[in-house]
Formats: sequence, structure tokens, C-alpha cells
Amino acid sequence: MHSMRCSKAASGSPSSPFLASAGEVDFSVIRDAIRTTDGNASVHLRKLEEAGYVTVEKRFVHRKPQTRYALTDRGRKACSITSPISKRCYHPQDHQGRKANDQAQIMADSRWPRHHRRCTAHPQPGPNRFDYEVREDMFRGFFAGDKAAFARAMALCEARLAENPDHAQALVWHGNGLLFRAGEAFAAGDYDKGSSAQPAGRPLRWRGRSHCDPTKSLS
Amino acid sequence: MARAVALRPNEVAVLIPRGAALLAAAMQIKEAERARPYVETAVGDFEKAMALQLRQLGGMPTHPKGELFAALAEGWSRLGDAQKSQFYLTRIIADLPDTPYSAAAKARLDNPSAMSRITCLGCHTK
Repeated sequence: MHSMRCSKAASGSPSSPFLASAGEVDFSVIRDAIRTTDGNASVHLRKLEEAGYVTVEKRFVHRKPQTRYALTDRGRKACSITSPISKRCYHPQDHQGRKANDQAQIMADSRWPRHHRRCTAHPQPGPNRFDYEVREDMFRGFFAGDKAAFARAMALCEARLAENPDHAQALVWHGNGLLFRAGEAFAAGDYDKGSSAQPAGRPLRWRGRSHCDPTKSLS
Repeated sequence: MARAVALRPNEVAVLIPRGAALLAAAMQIKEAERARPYVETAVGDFEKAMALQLRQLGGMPTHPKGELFAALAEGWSRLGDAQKSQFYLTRIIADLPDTPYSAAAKARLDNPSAMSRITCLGCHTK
């Protein structure tokens, strides 16, 4: 009985199908995507949290509070239960002209769950998107010089690779991070470190320095 | 990164990060011939990502679409194929009007030799 109520709560909440397609997202993104008020979105999300369908993480980013939600495995299963609301399509266009932050665009570009596949306007669904977990911190490292965020992103890649050395997305993001490290080292004039930091351990002629065979590096 | 693509050759979430990383790295290399292998791989990744998402292009949001087209325009330009580069720049202008991508594409079309920035526009954490 309890699980039935929970399933109904998850599939009946307009936020759950959005979350299923979006990965980990900020409160404001969910609120905008389901076109509701702060209060209504809070109620929906609290019910999902109480039912064990979403996890909540509160943190400060640039001194501003941020609340992020992600579906649990249980929530993902419950969300797959067919209901009129869970079948509702969230077109990428829904996000345009709204709060145009990068996150919303990431969400709009998400892999869509199975019940959305019939809609040709949607991107094809795909496997779990590791990039949603890693890219925010990685980009913060790349573009804002946030070393802590970059270290978190690299640690996440390494943890995922320790679990599964063939995790392709973790491999490619880790390679991205190594390349970034190499670039930083070259820019600082540390060519030895830059060379060894590269994904294949082969030096790339970065900014015209060093020596390399570009065709064989960067694996 | 090559291993990642070998493992998942048809996964957009693998192709795009590699393509973006290699194109960005290539743009830091002074000698065009040394950069060329990276650009070739990057363009190959982006073209494949484009082919895999062809049916979804109509509904694709501004940022991923703009970055994909711009990366292809940049890549083909660096490979010396002005025609293909212009094709993608023209598509940016047609498909993404009134966006930073169309403004950047117009600027590039007006003066290709200036190699003005067309990728990584308004994205991510600054």
C-alpha cells in the first residue's frame, strides 16, 4: 500500500519525469521546467523526498545557497510507471526564453526517458549521463580557475574509473582534465610536468614549445 | 580519450567532450600542420555527433546546437575547407537568429582571416 502511494506520488508529480530526464538539477530549473511557483515546486519536491524518490543537496555556490535534486533509483523506477502526467513531453523549447542559464540548457539537452522516445522533437535517450555529474565542477575549474571544483571533478572521474576502468564517459572527461592540467603546466613554463600530465604521457607542442608526435598522443 | 571513443564510438556524450578538448588544444598550437591531426579528429567527432543527432537538430536548444555548428565551422576552417566552414556559419545564422552565435558567425563570414571567436560563447562558468 505504501509503495503504491509512493509510486503514485512519484509518477503524479510533474517534477519527477523532468528529473528522470535531467539528472541532478537546481531547484529553480525544476520550478521553471514544470512552470510553477516556488511554493508549489517545494511541495512537490518535499513529497518526493519524503517518499525516498529524490535526494536533496544544499550547498553554497559563490556565497549563494543552492538546492539540488536528483532522482534515486527507487524514484527512477517509480517514475517509469505510466501516468498521464509522466507521459507529458518537456520539449527543449520549453526552456528557451525562460531563465536562460546554462543548466537549463543542459537539462534541455538531456537524454530523454523511454516514454519520450515517440516524440521526434526530443533527443534520443541514452545511458546515464556522467557529464551531468562532472561537467559543472570541471567547467568551474576550466573557466573560473576553481581548483577545488576541478579536483572534485577529477576525483569523481577517478572513482568511477576505479569501479569500472572501461567507463567511457569517465575516461573522456578524465582525459579532458589531464589535458587541462598539461596546458596549465605548459603555460606556467613547466614543460616536464606538462608533458607528463598529458593523457598519453606524450608531450604536446603547446603554445609552440616542446616536442611531440601529435598523431600518437592524447589517447 | 581515444580508448573512450573506441569503447563507445556512437555515444554523443563521449564524442563531444573529446572533440571539444582536441579542438581547444589544437587552437593553442602555433604550427597549423602540427595542429592538423587534432583538428581532424575533432571534426570527425563533431560530424559523427551531428549525424547521430540529425533527427533532433530541429528541437535542439541554442547552446548545444550553436556550439556544435560553431565547432564544425571552426574545425573545417582550420582544415582549410572554407566551403564547409561557410556552410555551418550560414546555418548558424539561419537556425539561430538573434543569438550570440549568429552575431559571431556573421563576424567570421565578413572577415574570415580575423579568425574571430565563434565557439564557447556565453557558456559555462566564467
